[in-house]
Amino acid sequence: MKTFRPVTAVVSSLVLSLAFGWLVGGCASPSGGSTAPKPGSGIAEYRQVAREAHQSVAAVVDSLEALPSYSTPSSMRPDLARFDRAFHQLEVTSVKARARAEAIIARGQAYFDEWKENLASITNQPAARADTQRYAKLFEHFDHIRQASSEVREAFRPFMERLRDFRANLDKAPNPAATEASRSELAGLTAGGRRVLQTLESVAAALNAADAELHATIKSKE
Amino acid sequence: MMHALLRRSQSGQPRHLVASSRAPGRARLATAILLVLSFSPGDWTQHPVFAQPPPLTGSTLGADLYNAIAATQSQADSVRRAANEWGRRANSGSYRAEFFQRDFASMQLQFQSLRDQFNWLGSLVGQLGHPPASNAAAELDAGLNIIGELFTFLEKQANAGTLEQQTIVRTCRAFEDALSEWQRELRKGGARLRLVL
Repeated sequence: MKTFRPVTAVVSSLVLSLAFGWLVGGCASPSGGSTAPKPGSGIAEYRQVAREAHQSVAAVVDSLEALPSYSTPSSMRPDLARFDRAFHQLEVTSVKARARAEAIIARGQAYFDEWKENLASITNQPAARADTQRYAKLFEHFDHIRQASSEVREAFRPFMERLRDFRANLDKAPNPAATEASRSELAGLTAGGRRVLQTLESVAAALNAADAELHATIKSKE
Repeated sequence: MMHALLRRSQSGQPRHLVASSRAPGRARLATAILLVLSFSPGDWTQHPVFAQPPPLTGSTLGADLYNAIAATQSQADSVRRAANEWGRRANSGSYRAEFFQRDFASMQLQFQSLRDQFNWLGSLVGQLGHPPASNAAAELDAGLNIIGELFTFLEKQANAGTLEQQTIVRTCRAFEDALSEWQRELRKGGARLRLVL
């Protein structure tokens, strides 16, 4: 029994650190990396990605909302230039944001998979129960984040496609029917943009909840 | 700028950058364009990951990684330059459907080459067994897939016969700037990798 307790303590710490690996550190490794991430940095990284994406989408939505009050291409020009800048910015920043979000989620899944495997190796029943509960709580948060991220993906990709099509249509010769269609497209596009903003806000809320849970877990372990 | 974007034919209809059935030989051209466009970017990632042998190999994994990073950076430079040049060509008044066909095919090949080069780098990073490096590689891989969506957009516009020159110009700029961001991330990843090796 003398050696059993320290081993259990080590396993227990390892198990908890696995969760923190994803929840707290973007660079942490489940198998033990050389870097010791600062608690909360993984969530902070994702929150930053979501915030930047939100800013870029909001700028596009704002610029879209400024477009309908003009009916001729020449009078639309200053607002079109503003829209073009916001659209281009979104086109560029969304590559990094989407790629990072995908990688963070994939990384999170790997951490939780490994954590689950490690739970099976805990032989001390009370410790195993406690860690299983922590796993369940934190995994639930991760699952919410993953679900919210999936909703962003589902809303963002068609929004971006419609945005490109909409801008391409403005390059064509103007005609009354096209203008009318463009107005309707514009309304749909703006609504799509707002939907993307809502999904990004859901991600931020899920990250905040995970952060709060994580800090409560850290406190309970101290 | 709207008026400058439109070049009309004698009948007064806007001239798009796709083949029309009126001109002789255009049907063949249209078929050729469709053949080029049928090779969609989505297919690229389904190719065998190591379809091409690495262009440069060192005596150690570290040396191979250095070489692979340098070669990937160099290829990304080429693609970015190609996007810039394509955008400038597309902005000229004499740009025609045949030029689009050639430029699109050339850009696809360049991008595919970057994809192959990066896949090789990704496989080396996998061998390294360093999770942070693998995470960075996964992120760069996703980035390339997302940039590839621009090909799908151009393809769709061309197939619909609605592709305008300014749309190409704007898309080329998006390619160029997105690739520039991608390269910045690759550079950062490379620098971090040097600390590990």
